[in-house]
Amino acid sequence: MRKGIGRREFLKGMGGAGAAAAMGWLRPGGAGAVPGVFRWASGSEARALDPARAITTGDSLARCWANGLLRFKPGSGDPSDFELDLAEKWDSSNGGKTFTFQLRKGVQAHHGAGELTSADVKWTFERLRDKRLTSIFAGRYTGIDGIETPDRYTVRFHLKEPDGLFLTKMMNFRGGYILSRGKAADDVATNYMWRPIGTGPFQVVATKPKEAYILERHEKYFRGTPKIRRYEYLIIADINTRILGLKRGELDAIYLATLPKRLLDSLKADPNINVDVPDSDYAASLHFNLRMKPMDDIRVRQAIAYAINRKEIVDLFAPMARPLYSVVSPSAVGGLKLEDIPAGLRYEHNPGKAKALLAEAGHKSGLRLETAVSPLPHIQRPIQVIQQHLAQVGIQLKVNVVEQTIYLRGSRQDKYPLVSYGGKRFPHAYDHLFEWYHSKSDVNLPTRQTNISHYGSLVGNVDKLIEEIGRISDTKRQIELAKQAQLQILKDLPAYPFYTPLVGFAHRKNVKFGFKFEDQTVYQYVLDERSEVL
Amino acid sequence: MGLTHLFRGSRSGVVGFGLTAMLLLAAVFGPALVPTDPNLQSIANAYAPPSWAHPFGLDIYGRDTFARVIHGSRVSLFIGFVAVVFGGTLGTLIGALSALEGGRVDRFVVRATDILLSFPTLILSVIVIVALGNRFTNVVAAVSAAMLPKFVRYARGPTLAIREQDFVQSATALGAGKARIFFRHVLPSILGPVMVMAALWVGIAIRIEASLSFLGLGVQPPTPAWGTMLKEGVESMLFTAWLALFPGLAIMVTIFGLNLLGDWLRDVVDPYVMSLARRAEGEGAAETPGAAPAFSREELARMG
Repeated sequence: MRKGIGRREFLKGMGGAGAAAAMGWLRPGGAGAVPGVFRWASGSEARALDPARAITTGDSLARCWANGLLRFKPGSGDPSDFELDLAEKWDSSNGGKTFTFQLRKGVQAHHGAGELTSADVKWTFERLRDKRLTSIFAGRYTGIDGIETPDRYTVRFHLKEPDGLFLTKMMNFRGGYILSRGKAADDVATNYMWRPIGTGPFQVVATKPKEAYILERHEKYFRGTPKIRRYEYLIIADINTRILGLKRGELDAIYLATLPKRLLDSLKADPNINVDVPDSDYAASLHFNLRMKPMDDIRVRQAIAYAINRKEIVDLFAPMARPLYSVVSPSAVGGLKLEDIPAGLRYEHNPGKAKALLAEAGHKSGLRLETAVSPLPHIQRPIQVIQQHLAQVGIQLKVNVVEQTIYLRGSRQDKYPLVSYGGKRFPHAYDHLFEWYHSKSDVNLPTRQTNISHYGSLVGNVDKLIEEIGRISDTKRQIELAKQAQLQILKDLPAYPFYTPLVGFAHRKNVKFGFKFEDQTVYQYVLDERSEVL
Repeated sequence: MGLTHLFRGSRSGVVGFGLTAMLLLAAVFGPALVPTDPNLQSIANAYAPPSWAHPFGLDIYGRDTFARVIHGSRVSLFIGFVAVVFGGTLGTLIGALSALEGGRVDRFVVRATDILLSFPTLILSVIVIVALGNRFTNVVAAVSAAMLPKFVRYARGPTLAIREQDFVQSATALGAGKARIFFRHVLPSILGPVMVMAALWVGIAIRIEASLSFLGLGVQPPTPAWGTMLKEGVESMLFTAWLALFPGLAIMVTIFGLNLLGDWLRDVVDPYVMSLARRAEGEGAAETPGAAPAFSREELARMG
């Protein structure tokens, strides 16, 4: 008796399976939209939903379930164009050292937590500044001297010094989200990690690690009951799966990250899909550790800058990237445009000059350097291109691709002479300059932010300029000071800015936002009460 | 026994031998025959489809995928073979000596091996990489570590049996030391089967290396590695399938070839199967211990 599968049976089986797969693939319309349910997919998972600890994913998600006292206009990421949110009016007194906000009345919090009052606002910021919470955003609010609540709907902030950018800190972004203390939340450290209580159009009803965050509409939302009844944030790591899901109608919108042009074009050509690529304040720079040799020599830093060809890095991600010539992206308030930068500080690709500078610095026979890099494509891929550029001028750069947390830790521990690092911040030059280039942000200090190069502590210093930008409220003057600071940084070259990756989003045309989406501050579509899935 | 005789009736053995030989030749001579620098980038031509100039197309950096697959074979085969040689040598020594020694040492080795075997091989490699960092030598160490407990267990079993054999007892009675017993009596007896398993496990070692590279824990860029290439290709698979296809095929063909070769080697070296083969041909039924049924050539081939 013959055992096993014969050639004919095998071919029949394979043919049948292939036909079944093809039928599934070609099924017209796929699963289709579910009216009232918005299914969003991204590869990113939130580290926390508590806005005091949430960055990127968690922060963007908070925009759906929480409000600030002020807010970005829906769909916009322009900080100079904010509007009232939980506050119905505000004023400033005492020479810019006191800010008073009048809250809307009758704003109901999620899960039956009751009306939001000034006590909740006070509690939110005191909790944020509580050392037990170790919020990464606490530093944004150290200027608050005290918070007063004269009545149920009035909250008054007393500042230590005038803060020209205080209002931006009250917006719905990184620490500015107002929480409701709720009935059971009396522990600052734990209760809000995954079950936050806000006042936004959607409320968090379930979190499934590695799988999904489920939000349902907040029936008592103060701007009106949202038209969408359910917002499903699905975690799907593979971009191909997300794209197929969107094309088949199993998903309503997806995060694209940085896609190659051909794939982006194929999505744009789909009659059922819209693609959004908002501008970005992301600034990717090569940070030189001024504490380590040979990076303490400006000629070596300049040689590296001249060796790198920005165009090739941008081409790698084209069209979802653009070259960056200053340490603050021009899409942020005060970021320098190319025409604002003198030719000598643009560090355009010039391998001959790079070799000459290296020789002058005593490295005629070349250099050997080492760095670590995150596996994330927008960080890892440019460094591989830079690796080739540096090799062409005699610099052998050894690249260690390490896990994201090891990369982040290593880049803050003086382990590598240069580190490729970048990120989004509040889209204002002050936030970028303070966090990356102020001496108080030095990674070796307890107040550390992301000043990896130790700029301001060892070489150069623009602290006073940065502090002045933060003190004044005249935007024109802020921009002028930011320009001076950036040009000085380009002269001292603690970091070489090279590109801004743009991230894309795509949604099916049956999704109507109710506003134009151009928000550079989020990593997902943020919906409000007007949004619909038809 | 000539190669022709050995392969007779085992088409899978021929295929395995052929594929493995081809891969070894590609790894040894390929880089000389494919002069294109596998790391040379041409961003402007990134994602170019296969053509006469670039039979496997260009990758996301505009690097020649064919050159990278060929150069990647060196990395994969080197790590595969070296890890198995390291893990195999050390594991065999530990397993055999532990069995010979017996007592507490043997119990300790058995428990330690059980603990290591309780981890899937890939997880064990990841643990080693995370502990040591992902440098090339550490990747070899990680894959070797994954192989080690398998060899310990594989060498220990037969040694326990050999230890009780009359010829070993006689040698002990004549005053032979443990070292002499090990090298003169135990090692020659277990070496054949161990080498067969080593051939089979080279494929597993290559798969582990490719998996580590796929996870971003393998050899560092820009060194070409099949797993890394596969990962980069998968990300854009919807419109540039060839980027994942060719390194994927290379991994598949290599493991397939090595498995077939290992299976064939096992049949050649295993005295039981060989005696069945000879019996089927009427050459040496008397050598077969016990009353084994006669197998047809087809059935024997299927056993392979």
